[in-house]
Amino acid sequence: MDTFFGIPTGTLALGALFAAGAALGVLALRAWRWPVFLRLGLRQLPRRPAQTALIVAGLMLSTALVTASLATGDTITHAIRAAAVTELGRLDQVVTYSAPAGSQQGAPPGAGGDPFASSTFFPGEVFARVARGIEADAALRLDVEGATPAIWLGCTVLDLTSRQTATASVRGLPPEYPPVFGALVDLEGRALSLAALQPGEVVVNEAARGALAVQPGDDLSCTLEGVPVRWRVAAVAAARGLGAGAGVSLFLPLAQLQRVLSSEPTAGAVDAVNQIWIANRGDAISGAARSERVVEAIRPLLVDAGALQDVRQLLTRADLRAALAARRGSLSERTQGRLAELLEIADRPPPPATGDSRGGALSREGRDLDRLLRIQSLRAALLAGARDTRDAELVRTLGTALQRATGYQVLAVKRQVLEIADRAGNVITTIFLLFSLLSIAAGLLLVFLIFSLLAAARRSELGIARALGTGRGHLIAMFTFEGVAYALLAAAVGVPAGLGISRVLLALLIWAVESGAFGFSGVAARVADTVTWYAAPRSAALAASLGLLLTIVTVTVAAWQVSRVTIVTAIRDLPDPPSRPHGVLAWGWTGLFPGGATLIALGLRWGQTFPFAAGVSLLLLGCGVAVSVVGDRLPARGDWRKGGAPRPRWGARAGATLAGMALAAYWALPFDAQERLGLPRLASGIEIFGLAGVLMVVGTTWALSANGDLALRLASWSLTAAGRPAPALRLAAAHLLRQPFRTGVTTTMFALVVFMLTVMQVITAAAVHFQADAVIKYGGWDLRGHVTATAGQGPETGPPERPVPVDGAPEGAPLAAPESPAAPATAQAQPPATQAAADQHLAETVVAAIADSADLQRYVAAAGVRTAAFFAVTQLSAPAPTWGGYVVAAIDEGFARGNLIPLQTRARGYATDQAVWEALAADPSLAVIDANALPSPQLRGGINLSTLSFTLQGIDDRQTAMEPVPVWIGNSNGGAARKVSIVGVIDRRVATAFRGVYVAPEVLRGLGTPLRPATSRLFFRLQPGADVNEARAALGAAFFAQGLQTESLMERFQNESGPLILASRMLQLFVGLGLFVGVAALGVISTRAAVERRQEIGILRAIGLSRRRVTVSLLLESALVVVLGSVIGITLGLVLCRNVFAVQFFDRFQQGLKMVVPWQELLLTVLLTCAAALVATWLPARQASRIPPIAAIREA
Amino acid sequence: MTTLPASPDHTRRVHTDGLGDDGLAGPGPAPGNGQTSRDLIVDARAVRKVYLGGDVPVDALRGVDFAVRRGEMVAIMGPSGCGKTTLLNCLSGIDSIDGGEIVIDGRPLQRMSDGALTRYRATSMGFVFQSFNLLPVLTAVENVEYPLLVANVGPREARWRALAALAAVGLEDRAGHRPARLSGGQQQRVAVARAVVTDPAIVWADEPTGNLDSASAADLMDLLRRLNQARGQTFVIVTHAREVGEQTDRIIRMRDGLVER
Repeated sequence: MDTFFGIPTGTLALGALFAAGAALGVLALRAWRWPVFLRLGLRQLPRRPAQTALIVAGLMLSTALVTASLATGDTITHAIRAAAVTELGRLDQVVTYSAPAGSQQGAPPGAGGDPFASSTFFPGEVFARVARGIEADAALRLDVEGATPAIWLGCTVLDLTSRQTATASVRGLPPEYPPVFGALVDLEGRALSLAALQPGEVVVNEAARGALAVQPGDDLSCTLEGVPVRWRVAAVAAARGLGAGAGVSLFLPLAQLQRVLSSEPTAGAVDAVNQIWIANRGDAISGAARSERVVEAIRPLLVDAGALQDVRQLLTRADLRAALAARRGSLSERTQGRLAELLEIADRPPPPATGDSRGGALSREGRDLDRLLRIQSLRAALLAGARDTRDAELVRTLGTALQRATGYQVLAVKRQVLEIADRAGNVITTIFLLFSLLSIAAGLLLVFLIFSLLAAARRSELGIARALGTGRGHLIAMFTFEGVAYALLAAAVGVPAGLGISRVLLALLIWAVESGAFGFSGVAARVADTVTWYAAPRSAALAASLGLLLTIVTVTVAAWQVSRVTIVTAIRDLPDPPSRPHGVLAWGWTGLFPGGATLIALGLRWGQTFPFAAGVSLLLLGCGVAVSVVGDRLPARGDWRKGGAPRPRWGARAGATLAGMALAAYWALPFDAQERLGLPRLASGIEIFGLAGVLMVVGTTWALSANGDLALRLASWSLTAAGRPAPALRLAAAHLLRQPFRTGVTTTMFALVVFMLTVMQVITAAAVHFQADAVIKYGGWDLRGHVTATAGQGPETGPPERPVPVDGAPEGAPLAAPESPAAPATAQAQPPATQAAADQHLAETVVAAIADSADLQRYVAAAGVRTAAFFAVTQLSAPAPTWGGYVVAAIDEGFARGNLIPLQTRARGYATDQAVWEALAADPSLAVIDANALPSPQLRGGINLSTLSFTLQGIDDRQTAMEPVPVWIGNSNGGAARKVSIVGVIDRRVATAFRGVYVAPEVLRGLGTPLRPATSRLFFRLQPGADVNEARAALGAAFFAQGLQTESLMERFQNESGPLILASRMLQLFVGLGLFVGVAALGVISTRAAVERRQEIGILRAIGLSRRRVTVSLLLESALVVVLGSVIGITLGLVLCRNVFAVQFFDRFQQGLKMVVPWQELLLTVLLTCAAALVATWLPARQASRIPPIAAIREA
Repeated sequence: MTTLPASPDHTRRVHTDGLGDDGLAGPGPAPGNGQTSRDLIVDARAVRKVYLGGDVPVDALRGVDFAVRRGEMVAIMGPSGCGKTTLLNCLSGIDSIDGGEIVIDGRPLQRMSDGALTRYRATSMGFVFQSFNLLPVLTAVENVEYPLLVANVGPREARWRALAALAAVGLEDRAGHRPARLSGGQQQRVAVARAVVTDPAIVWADEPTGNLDSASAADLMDLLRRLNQARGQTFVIVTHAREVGEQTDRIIRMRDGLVER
């Protein structure tokens, strides 16, 4: 995980390590000064080995849980990141070029009519300059491991042998490219050398085998930058090193590719490239951390100082300055600041010319100028200012100068990809963060409980020590030494145990997923490839130091509490007399009010929930304490009659009840409740949910503990008639009430564990419900594909046989353009609208051909076409109707009949979703829209969706039935408008995959030509049991002439959702792990209870209580805690989940997640937990019941 | 058994005075009766102690006046629940009082902070409990040297003095044993060594023979008497046993939270 409470985990780990080290240092100093107390503390460890083992195990659980949760978070994040960077390998930065329109700058010599005239190519000399710059810069050499010039182009490639088509990238590299980019090896592991390739030969990667069914010796054809080419496959490279990646790639020597693209096929004459690859030091992921420095260092090597100077001079023009000044008010504050900085630099005297306009040492002003001009908003402001002047030439001149100045870009591609991946993985890391927070809270309580019990066990000894002159500081030191010894042992065992646990869980899960055991399905492929166990060292360090630090703090607090023993009662092991705080403590609580008010004010000022809610909590606490104090000072009614001194009666109870219930109620409020009260919306992260959970549980338990005696009375009254179990139950309840603090902490901890379990189960269920079914996510379709119509294949002429390349054409040389099968866009360009119509027609004919082909029907059960374009949509019945852009998709009958896209809302009168779809295909007045069009409070205010997007008002996500909603679809390109009635809303789970207003084909046709051409996609549902790869091959071969390309939606689903589903399942296993903490707590309590009550049990046995009843009594104590904790945990967990889902918190990660309460799983887990807890209690209870009465009495 | 060296600080032993011929009567001398407060090591006046444990407050001490001379060995006796242990606890400063005043060696306990009281206990008081109450994780010698270490005596000196104290109670050969490996009598002798090792001005003993058989009890009382005589240390002993009381300089009897006159 990268951050924790918004702080980078690395920083946090360092901080925690430092703090733990400092704490240990202080303790070491005290140990040196007071060795006797160190001895006293440490000698407790071997005194009772079983107890020591129990304590270490308890403490270890907490550390292990945090370690395991951090490590699992790391594993999932790493898996998502690793999957994201597979295509890039070690490529961290790419230098690209974008020349000004119409400019030939950067193109190699002799580029007239040449593909290199493309505005993205630049001379190979630029690479030499970059290489020299890297070589000359010692600091840069420490960051950069290798760089190479390259050509990387995309195309549609045809395998003329297998008759398959796929989109591919063609990469040309110098044969001696730096090894950091990875070697090419064949499927047997033998090295492949680009230098060994003959002209016209290429190496393809393993992904091409699946997509094109390619074999060595196959002929491939494609059109690169308008140049038709043909290659022969020399070898297939394994999917590692340079050959890694899921996309089809072709590799060949750079010089050969340059010759192919050149109109002058003389070797060495053309050295243009369109990329420079730069690899940083580190591994495929960590290298990206150096990107910022590398980009900043490389950038000056590429800046055109002359262009910068031109911009600088233009910025000194008075008319432009005046125009910019006039525009200033319309700019954002940030852009205004940048503009002022830019103009200030322009006003400085220009530095002396260096002679070399590019690549030389850039002055500081030049660097600043370059930095500022790379900001898009600033460039836009400058051009807008230039437009405002009366000089029309100025816009062109400034535009050209800006283009020249910013033509070269150094793109930190790896970092960008990782950022996108991190956003995708955020939902997982966020959930694990919540889990970690709750684990820490539960662990903290466990540690506190253990040490409180330990202190209780040593009370007599501590009293003696105090009587002998031991100071409180000595006692704290002594107890802390002991605690730290336990903590060190626990950390030493807990961290490896946590790492081991996460590793075992992952292995178990991968096995379960891949084998299909335990009902796992749907993600069988690639899971093991994409998810490998990974734990960042900082996570282990963080867990260890955090565990140690928290234990030290908790032990110190417990020790401080212990040091306040009343010596006499401690020596005799009698209960402490009630005491009232005095001095500062007596009135210190009044500080809660100003403290709370200050935090509330700060929260409102900063717009942050945390200080605001903390302030409210302090006020509530203050009210509770005030009631307690006042209540205790007021005399009870009976006291007046007796005339005696007033005695505390109801204050503590009322105060605790008020504060506890108010805390629980406040944190249980919906998260948007403050807005309803007119307060501004405050920002918060998932941490606030963790805090809400902890405080709700603490508040509820506190209030209940304060009223436990009432519950006992109720129990006694109701048990009078209960017969045999009554004495045991009464005894159990009495013991629980005798130690209200201990009971409260234990119940809180168990409730917290069940709370955690409930929240995780619900989130997991929502994620699994959302992700687990590929059939639903892709509307029941198995394959998606598209075709590309060539000239003459329009609707009028029908699809003719696609021309096959001329045999005997010189290999590696350009093919004659008219004979190219894949050169429609450039060689035989059609107007876009015509092309789109041709594509749509071709797709429809493919569907029709399948219906007529018995061979294909062996594979295909249903096929349909969806043609989509962007139009304007408005809803006149909305409160403020406006036109908003939206995708409008026409579907044919095949699509309407064959799809299984679920609707979350449908108009009354339609019995099934299928009825809606079929009616839509037949009736041009009907439409269906996806749920993304519904208002979403999270997203509409965010940056994900354009506010210009159409929003359907009047329907919300919870509705299942609706009245038809009429909307108008308009074409801003042609003016045509059609009215349709929305009769269904596509389920959020599939809304992203099937975004749009769905209409009949004639509606789309009636709208006329859209501004941007429509795209047509084919969808295929396969026959049950049909092999996906065979079906794809059959379809590809049958429609080779139409250039049919297909992709497996299941494969796509597995790539997209595999890690997420795995993480969801992982969470479920983790929940089970978390329960150990609760069970361990009860085990500890029970063991302690059995020891503490040894004498009492002996006496009970002596007066005739059977062993069974003693056991039952102790078991009932745990059972009461378990039942109470479970009820509190489940109830509050569901309350929190309701609040979290109500504000659509997870929409920022994944739209459409709905709260699902997995009642069966939840109840089963809770029952199992209760059973485990009772087993943990049963052992000490049984042992206690076997105490010989006489032995216990003698001890007494 | 080694003879204890006389302690120079506590040699001003005052033997049984004219408070009663048998030395068994009366609450003790009051400063006004010809004694200066400088001669008194314990001077308690109108001491009250109320326990608020339940609904009904319990008056454990109801205005006790009590004084002990320096070097005196006094027994407090009385029936169970009469308040003798409470009085001992209050006098020794390990329990608080609700009224009156306690002055130990010229220092009023109520005006001392917790820290000062703790330091005073460490340097000037010794305790012997009925249940021995040795620290179980420490050996005999470590238990004895513990108060010295708490009082910031150097470790070498502390060990030497602890061994000497153990020798004085006849347990030098048991120095390395933990309490669990000692008999009850031996444990109590270690407790006595621990109580006197700091050369305290006063030693409080609460039923020191309560958990011992009669032979061990007699041995222990012999030991306490010898220590009292040799070192001039003041001993205040709470006991039920008449034979224990008979060996002290004076017996103070208590009933219902008051000293009998």
